[in-house]
Amino acid sequence: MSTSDDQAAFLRQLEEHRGIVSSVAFAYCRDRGAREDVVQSISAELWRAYPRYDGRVAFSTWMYRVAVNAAISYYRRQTRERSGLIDPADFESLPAASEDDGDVARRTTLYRLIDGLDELERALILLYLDGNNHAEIADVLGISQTNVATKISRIKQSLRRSVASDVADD
Amino acid sequence: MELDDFKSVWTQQTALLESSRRLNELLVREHTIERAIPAMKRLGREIAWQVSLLFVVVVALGSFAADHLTERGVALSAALVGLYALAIAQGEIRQLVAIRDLNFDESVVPLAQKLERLRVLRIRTTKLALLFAPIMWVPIVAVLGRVLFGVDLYALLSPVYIITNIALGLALIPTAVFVANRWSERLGRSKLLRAIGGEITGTNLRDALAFLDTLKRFEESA
Repeated sequence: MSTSDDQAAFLRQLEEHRGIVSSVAFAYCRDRGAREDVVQSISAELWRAYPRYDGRVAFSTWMYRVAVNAAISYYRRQTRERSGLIDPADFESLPAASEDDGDVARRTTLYRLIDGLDELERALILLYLDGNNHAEIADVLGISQTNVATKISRIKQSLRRSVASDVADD
Repeated sequence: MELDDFKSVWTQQTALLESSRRLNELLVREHTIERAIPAMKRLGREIAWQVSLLFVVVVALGSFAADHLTERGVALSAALVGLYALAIAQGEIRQLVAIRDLNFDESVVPLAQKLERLRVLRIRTTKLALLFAPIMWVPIVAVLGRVLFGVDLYALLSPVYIITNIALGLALIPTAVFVANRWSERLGRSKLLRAIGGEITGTNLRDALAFLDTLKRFEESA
């Protein structure tokens, strides 16, 4: 296959799984400028890694791996340079046109949940929210399925506790 | 409220991003790879240059020491500077080997571990170079004096003068650590100074080791 065929095939697959890049970028950065940097960084790594893609894993799994690795690298570099965690006030939300009060509350809680997670737990939760099963998550992260199940269960418990505490405060 | 309740909000949010034209442009821009040279590749090239330069220095110093065996002070200085350069070179060669082993399509946790071990290696090499620099300047000046001006500084200067300078160099190491610790906040405006301060005080190393520990726990806990 020629280089232009390769590029065309790559762009086709990229277009098909474009949502992966969006959700990974969104999990690590909600500030628009920074998010574009993350997307740029992910795109560069995808282009660079594509010649090595041999089809042994699903294209989506491969894409998640590259995207999460690039996003974590970016995130760690940024937090080091800022000497601390990214300020949640910098985050931008994207209200949907048809959103009601319940959606707004869920969105706020979701942001708070994500902000409280470290870079690895963020990867885990974004894979879960994107609808991947435990085997797929384990494959992307390089940990066991049992470990994935345990961690998701812990995050769920922590979320329940946090919601219960909010209700008690109100 | 359960985690699964958030799936629809998440899907809605990422769909909004996905439909953004800007994101699409960024994704399919074919020259992205040419514009954004991956940081690791760039770092690898810089290190390769430094290693080549260090090897030239080591060979030149070895040859210089062999030619000046009768001038013990100068020959010993050349040997010391050569050892210093070799110590830095071995750290950089290990970094080069580590960089060659990096692929962004690996699973997330193993790659994050490799990247952080590489960072630890880089911090330790920089720390070695920075901390020994204050006491290495005497032998470096002795070699340069002989090479550039044909002067043997050990014959020219009194031993007390030389020992005092070495002692001052030694005293500079804890002073640098103290200054970096005391004024680390004020270094905050300059990225480079903050990075150097972090390397001297060990903050960067502690941060890297802590992340390695987090990765290990993330991998093990079940």
